[in-house]
Amino acid sequence: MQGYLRSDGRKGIRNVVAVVYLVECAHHVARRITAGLEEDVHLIGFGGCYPNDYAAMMLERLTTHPNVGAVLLVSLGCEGFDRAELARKVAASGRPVETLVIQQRGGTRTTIEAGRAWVEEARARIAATPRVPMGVDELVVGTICGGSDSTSGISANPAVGRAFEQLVDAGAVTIFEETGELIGCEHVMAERAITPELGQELVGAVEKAERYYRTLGHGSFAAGNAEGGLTTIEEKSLGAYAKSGTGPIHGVIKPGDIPDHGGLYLLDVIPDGEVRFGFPNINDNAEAAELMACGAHMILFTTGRGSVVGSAISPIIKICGNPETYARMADDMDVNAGRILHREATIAEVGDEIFGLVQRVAAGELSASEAMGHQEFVLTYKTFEPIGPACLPLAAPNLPVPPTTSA
Amino acid sequence: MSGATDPRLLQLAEGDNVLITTMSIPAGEELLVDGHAVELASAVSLGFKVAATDLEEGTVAVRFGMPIGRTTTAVSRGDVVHTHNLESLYLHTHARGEE
Repeated sequence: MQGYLRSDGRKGIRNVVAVVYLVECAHHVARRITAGLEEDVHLIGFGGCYPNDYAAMMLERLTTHPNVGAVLLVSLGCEGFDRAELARKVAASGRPVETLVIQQRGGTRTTIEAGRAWVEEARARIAATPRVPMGVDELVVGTICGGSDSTSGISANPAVGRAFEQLVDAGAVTIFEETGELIGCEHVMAERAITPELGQELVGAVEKAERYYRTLGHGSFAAGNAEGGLTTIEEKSLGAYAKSGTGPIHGVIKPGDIPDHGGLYLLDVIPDGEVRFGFPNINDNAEAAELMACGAHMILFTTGRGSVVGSAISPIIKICGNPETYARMADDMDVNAGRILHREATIAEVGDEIFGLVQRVAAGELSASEAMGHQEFVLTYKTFEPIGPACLPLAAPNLPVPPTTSA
Repeated sequence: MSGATDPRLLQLAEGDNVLITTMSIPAGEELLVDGHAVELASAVSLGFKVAATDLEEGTVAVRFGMPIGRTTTAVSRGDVVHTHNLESLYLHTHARGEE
């Protein structure tokens, strides 16, 4: 396995040009710049016209993600996003970066032309990025469940949990998330924390999620979950929780925090403070973006109903827990964990299969969603406070990249 | 659960009072649940829950050893357990209309 070496010492498993719209009004121009080049030119962005510290931090983390080799910012011109500051941060990371302001460039056509010319040149430049040996202990792997049903918690999720245990044993960083889908599991989970103080932080994070969702009127529970046999949020949680395996929990992080020790981390995705800006994560890709902002090179995505999404920047590996769904949608799936339900494979065997696939995708093999060109991406408004001192017992006194620096 | 049970029904942990179906089963089939023969009143899809025993209204349903909600009506052994007879101990479950 080899990685693309970046100036901060991290290594990427992909080397893409990120084209970034800084407001919805620049989205079309940015998309046309990427047209036909999507294999290694990925589109991300923020739709809002008004500035938000979280969104600025997210785009900084994503444009300096190890899988990204060069960055083109596309601005309409009058939006509130601090484009100069983002460009400075990307430049400081040693990556080629350019900013195109549509209102200064003469409009849609001329900006698309300029953008495509820059991207072509950038691709040629980053093709020379040095590749160096990379170990499993340098990987950051996230997990999400999406389109869950009753089978997810029996087959796909415990198999991912098993793969997570193997990754942690090999020294990798693993991240599970969606505290709103751990409601009911908080006290069992807290017993796995490496310190009692961290255990309290885990419970606090889930309690915050419950308060938040209570204000919104219902849990992180889609109609399809019930159609797939899940009845309550705590039943869904019990299944989602299985993705974390059974090993010790080493920390709680928030979007943009990048763990500096191998281990298992919970990503707290629920905004701090009073409820504002609406739903915490409006869909699965909002969670994928946050995992990537924490450094995830790839994401293990479990599904029962049959999600098809992929992601820009970091490949998504699809693990299907429901054998009937797998039979209908095999093209979209990387792993058939439904075999566990039919007693054709054990959780340990499917866990081994996932662990092997993680290493092959890290080495360059395309996942199913990646090969089909899926690059969904979404980023919305949020507010976070920095994590408390008990959240990362293993961390050095100063986090290498504290979450508030971009505020 | 000590009695014989249909192999299509899975008890995830000792003491669970709901069982999980490992494949879809049509309505009218007779199932053996803990040594008792019951007729399935409605079709049940893969992954859904069936009561392992008679449950009074207000009973906490247990799956994989964890509480997953409280029954809102009396439930008979072999009945499907879902949103029509089980509610969350935490947050209301949102559903969409029939298609």
